[in-house]
Amino acid sequence: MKGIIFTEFLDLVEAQSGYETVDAILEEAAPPSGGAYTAVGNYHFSEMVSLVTALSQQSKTAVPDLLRNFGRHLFGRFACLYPSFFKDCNDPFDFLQDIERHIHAEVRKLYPDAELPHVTAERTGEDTLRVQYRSCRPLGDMCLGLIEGCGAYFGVEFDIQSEPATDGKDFAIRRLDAASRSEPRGIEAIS
Amino acid sequence: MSPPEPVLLRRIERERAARIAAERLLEEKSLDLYEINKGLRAWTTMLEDIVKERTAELTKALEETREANSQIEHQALHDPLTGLPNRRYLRQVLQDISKSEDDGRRPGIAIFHIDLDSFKQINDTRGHAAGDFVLAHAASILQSLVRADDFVARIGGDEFVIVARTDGNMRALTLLADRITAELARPVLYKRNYCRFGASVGIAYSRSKISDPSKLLVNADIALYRAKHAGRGRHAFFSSALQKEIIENQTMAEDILSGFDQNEFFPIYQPQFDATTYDIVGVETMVRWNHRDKGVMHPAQFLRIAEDIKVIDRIDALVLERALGDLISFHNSGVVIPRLSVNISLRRLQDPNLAKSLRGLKLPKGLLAFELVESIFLDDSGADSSLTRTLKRLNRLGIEIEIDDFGTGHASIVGLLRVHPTRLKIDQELIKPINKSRKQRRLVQSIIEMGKALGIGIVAEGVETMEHATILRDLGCDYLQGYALAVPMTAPRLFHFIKTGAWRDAEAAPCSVPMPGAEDLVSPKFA
Repeated sequence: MKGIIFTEFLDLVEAQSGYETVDAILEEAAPPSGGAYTAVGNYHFSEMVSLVTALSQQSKTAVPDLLRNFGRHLFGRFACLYPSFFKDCNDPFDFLQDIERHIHAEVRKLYPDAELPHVTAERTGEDTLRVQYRSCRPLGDMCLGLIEGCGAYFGVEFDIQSEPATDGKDFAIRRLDAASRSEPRGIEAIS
Repeated sequence: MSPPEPVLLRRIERERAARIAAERLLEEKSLDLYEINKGLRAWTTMLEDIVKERTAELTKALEETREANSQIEHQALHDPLTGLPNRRYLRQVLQDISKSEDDGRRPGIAIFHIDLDSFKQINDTRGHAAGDFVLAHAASILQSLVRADDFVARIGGDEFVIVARTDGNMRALTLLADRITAELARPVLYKRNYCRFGASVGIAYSRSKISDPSKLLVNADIALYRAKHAGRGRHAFFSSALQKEIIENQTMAEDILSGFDQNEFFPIYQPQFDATTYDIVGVETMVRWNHRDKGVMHPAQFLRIAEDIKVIDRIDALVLERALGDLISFHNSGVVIPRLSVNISLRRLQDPNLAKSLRGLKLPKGLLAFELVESIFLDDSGADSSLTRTLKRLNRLGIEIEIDDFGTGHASIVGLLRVHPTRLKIDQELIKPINKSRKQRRLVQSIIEMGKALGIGIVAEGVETMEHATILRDLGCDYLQGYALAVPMTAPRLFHFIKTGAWRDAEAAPCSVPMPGAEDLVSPKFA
């Protein structure tokens, strides 16, 4: 797993709960890498599992909620770190439909060994979209958070129904606030 | 409230470790990039090499295409045998000349039209390879004789054309023509045998710039025709007089052809006499042409043209047919002509149907004689030649052979005697001076003696006076023909002449003999 996920996760924990919490979960999880994450490094997924588990125990918050919260935060960070993927898009459905074809394709060029999930999106009506998340990692809730972050970024309120699937999760998304669909509200809208 | 010290210390330691890890990663990635860059450079070099190689291939292909195109263009404008420009190229050059600016220096052009003499014989007897060899030789000779900026083309068969700039200096043009005829007259060694040929040259030139140089080409062709007729191996310049003559010849050729349709050709007869008894022994039949505008014309005025347009055999046949008709009609009216001598051309002798048509007439032996001029034997004198065979065949049909104009031609006596002539006709040029020159008398006497020794009868032509007749009789000549005794005359006049025995008076009183030029030229239409 890319180091940026770890650094972003720990940055969020620090921002929300202080570095002592970060230190506590690192001490608790005792990851083999020693917790000295760098955004450009690669780390085993199990370290993330240990960290989230430690945070859940520490904060008495369920893992799915933590992951969903992290996903929402991560979308904003992506928008901030990689603006080129966002500049020509004004619609959250278009963006979600473009993930596999455009964003993941570019990521693979940079990191040929990256293990990316399959995220396919299909319009089911004028204001509805069906997203299928498939991965060897159980991060469906983080995906839900990312979709919510996407809606917030573009200023569109979503009604999202999710259901588990083999190797992933399916999401049925309905646009609630059709009037403002083409006015992205930006990163502030996510937090 | 800041975190407790151990937490901060761990944080510092983690961040230091993270920095080191990041730096190590950076170093690794830098090395990776360096290697990738090196690989890319190798790839670039390889690609550049491929591009260079491909560019060289394409350049070569382009050059080959260009070369092929220029070769195609060259082939379209050149004769493959000699490498000289062809007729198409010549046309282009003449067009270019007509369009070119006059620079004031040598503004005129001269066109030499060159035709090889006796080339066909080389092809026929030595084969086409020899002919090709001669053509290539002629091409190189012509190129060696002209200036660098002159143009030489082979326009077909054995015909060449030179286009040369000229200031109108006729001497310079003559000099070049003489060189051409002299150089091309030299025999060429081909496969250990010499090929002999020659060249005739027609020249047309213009001193000043000419708007349509192709006219000069036509004129050069006319001049060439003249050079050929003048006897080959020569040159002739085009002139307006020549053009006029050519046009007149063309008109005459057309008139001859329409003359056949209008029945304008007719025979006239000049009797031949026994030198001792003055009995009529036969008549020479000659042709006359009653031209609708020009009146009655002598063969000298039209036979050359008739030969050119290859109708001389037709005239011969027509005269023979008419003469035989007259003979029969005379016979039916009680006038007997012992022998009919008819002039015959080589072309008529070569007619494969001649013997067949004569055989059908079933003529009594000795009634018909063919008069052949010596020149016929010049081109065809072998013992087994087709001419000799034809004459033998005619002989078997009872047709006699006479050699006309004997003593003025260039044929060998051996060649003449080979055809077993019945009679020799001594040319009038030899007969005329005998009343004044003893030497000439001796010459004629020796011909007569030769005839007697070989059993060949002798006819003297051009017997203008009774003095000539007497001398010839005394020299032992067998037969006489000439104005002293009878002028050429039409059939009705001949009938009257024989019936009345008019010449007997002339024999008694020589002064009443018609003078030369008093030939009876009245055509049968008006007789």
